[in-house]
Amino acid sequence: MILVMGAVIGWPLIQTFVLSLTDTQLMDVSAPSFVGFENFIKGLGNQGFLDALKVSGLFALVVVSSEMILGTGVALLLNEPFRGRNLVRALLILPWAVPTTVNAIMWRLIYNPEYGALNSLLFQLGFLDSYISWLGSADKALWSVMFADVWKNFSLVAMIALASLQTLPDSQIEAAKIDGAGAWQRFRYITLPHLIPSLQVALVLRIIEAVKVFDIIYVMTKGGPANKTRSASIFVYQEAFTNSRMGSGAAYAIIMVSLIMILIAFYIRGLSRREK
Amino acid sequence: MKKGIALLLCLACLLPIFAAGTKESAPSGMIELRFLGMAQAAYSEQNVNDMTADFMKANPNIKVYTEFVPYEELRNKTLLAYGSNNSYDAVLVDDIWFTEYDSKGMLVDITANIPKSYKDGVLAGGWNFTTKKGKIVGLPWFLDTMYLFYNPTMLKAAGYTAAPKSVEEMVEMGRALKAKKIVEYPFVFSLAQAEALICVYSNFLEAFGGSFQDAQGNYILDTSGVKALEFLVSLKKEGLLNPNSLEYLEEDVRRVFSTGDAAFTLNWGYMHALASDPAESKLKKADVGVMVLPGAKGVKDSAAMSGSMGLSVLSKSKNPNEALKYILYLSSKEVQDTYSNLQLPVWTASYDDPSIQAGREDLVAAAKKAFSIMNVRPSVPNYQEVSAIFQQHIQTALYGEKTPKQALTDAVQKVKAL
Repeated sequence: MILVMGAVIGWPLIQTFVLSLTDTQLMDVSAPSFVGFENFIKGLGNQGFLDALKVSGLFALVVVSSEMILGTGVALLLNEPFRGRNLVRALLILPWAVPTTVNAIMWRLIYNPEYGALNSLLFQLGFLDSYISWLGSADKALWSVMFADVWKNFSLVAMIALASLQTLPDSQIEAAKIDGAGAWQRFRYITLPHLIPSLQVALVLRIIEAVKVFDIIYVMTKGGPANKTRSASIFVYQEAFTNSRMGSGAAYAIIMVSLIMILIAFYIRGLSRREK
Repeated sequence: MKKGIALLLCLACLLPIFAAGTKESAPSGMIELRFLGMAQAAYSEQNVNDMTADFMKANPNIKVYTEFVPYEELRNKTLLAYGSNNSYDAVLVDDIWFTEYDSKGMLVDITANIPKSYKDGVLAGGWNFTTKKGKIVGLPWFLDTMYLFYNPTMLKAAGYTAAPKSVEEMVEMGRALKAKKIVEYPFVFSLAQAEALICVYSNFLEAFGGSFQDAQGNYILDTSGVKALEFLVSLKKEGLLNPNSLEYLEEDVRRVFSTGDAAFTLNWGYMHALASDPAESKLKKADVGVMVLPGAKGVKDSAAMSGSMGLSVLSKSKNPNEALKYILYLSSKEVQDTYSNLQLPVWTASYDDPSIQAGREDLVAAAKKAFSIMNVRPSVPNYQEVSAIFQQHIQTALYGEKTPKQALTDAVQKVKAL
């Protein structure tokens, strides 16, 4: 197992680290030079990279918190008995099952400033005087992409939460009702504590995914307009492949991985504390 | 354990099935070539595949596998494949990439292998961008520029009987069209954060007499490029430019113009046929005018910036002679004349051929004029990075976050620091 892990994860990581200590250029004919930690020092002082990290951070914060709230709410609704519940539960999986690229293209069409469904809907409802360029506006593009991502991924949180809710014994809720607990109190003191371990798993998974977001942004805006949606992953891609600087691209990638590892460390620490 | 080994053996037995799905195996003695082209309107994938099929029919010992990617991915895919053990034999190269590829030693010097008929027959402007340090490293495949497309019917409705003769006159026409409510936004351009933005901007840069670099190669857009950017910003501020332009690429502006929602746009030659094609457009032939972008008053008559592409053989090709034979075929006069519906040939003689001119005399006339005055974007190895910086800063000015002067000053400083 260690051998397999070492070959699949360890070796590429070591290669990337070695690359990050050089000034390797994509397809450069001359041999790369060893530059030590220069790429890391430059990277941490690069305003473009810091801006891209901010975009990734904001994206993760907004998207994950929205998905947690929305996903939990939907799970609570789907846990209640109503006609057609099984059908709605099955439909819930659809957004998550759509490939990210397809989702991005679909939302690009929905946001289209000439014939997009969103503009049409908001215009007909009287919320808009004229059609809006959602992905072409510096102040709306990132929020528009975030909305598309929430639509796709809230169902994952909802499914995890719903699975957890189904293991909550009805007797606990009934007992609380007999004791006179209101709906909010039942949620606050029984349902939520029961949900938290499952939501923590979903939270960590989604934070890691959201911090390293690439595909949905790349398809929808390619990091534009004016770099307003350029995430750290897109920055790394551009540094390595557009600017041909593989060495510093690797350094930026390692900085990103380090940030994600810090998040994972917090999660593991939290888990071990609870187990104790 | 035994079950695991049995499962692995079963999977191993399935491998040939997957291998068979990737590429049909060629008979022994057959030479295989891989070509990377661009998914675009002209030449379309179908066009190139048809050309390739004809080539293979004439050369039964050569099998060509074609692949196509969007323009935005073409350079990266070429570079990455070249760096792997699975390089392409022949590729399509934008005029702005030749210097970079050549500096990395990726292109085969084909100077000695080009037939005289090609050297003499292809438009001189083509050899300019495929020649690096005195050696020819590519065959011109299409010469192109962003032409000014305008709607003569709309202009007539606003009281204009002739096309604009200067940028200033074009803006006056735009104002009249808007005032008379003939069209809400007379202008639409492809100004998304992409190379298309640089192509539009660089055409206006030419129109206002500006330049990316001075004779020593120093970037001077912070002085010579301000007027062109101020012009675009003023169009937006006046409400003459479709505000969605900032997320549009070429195909988007084609659709807007084709639905009659703009009177002026800049686009490549391929749009000429599609703009009056009933399957693609609401416009009739009389609604589509094409010309070289006029210059600013007192500066120059016309302006054009090259957006041409060529075909090259990559140094890692195991069959460079056959790859050259293939690209010579693709760029031959016969093939180019046959597929000239959406893409004008690179051959001088084709422009005097009545069958090539038929139905698009205005485009051919514009092309002739454009090719004689066409300038090129900076020919530097790090063009992609330079372009990305200018794209971002030009957009900040268009969004009003910075003045054109400030945006270009910041951009030039960043470029100088590379």
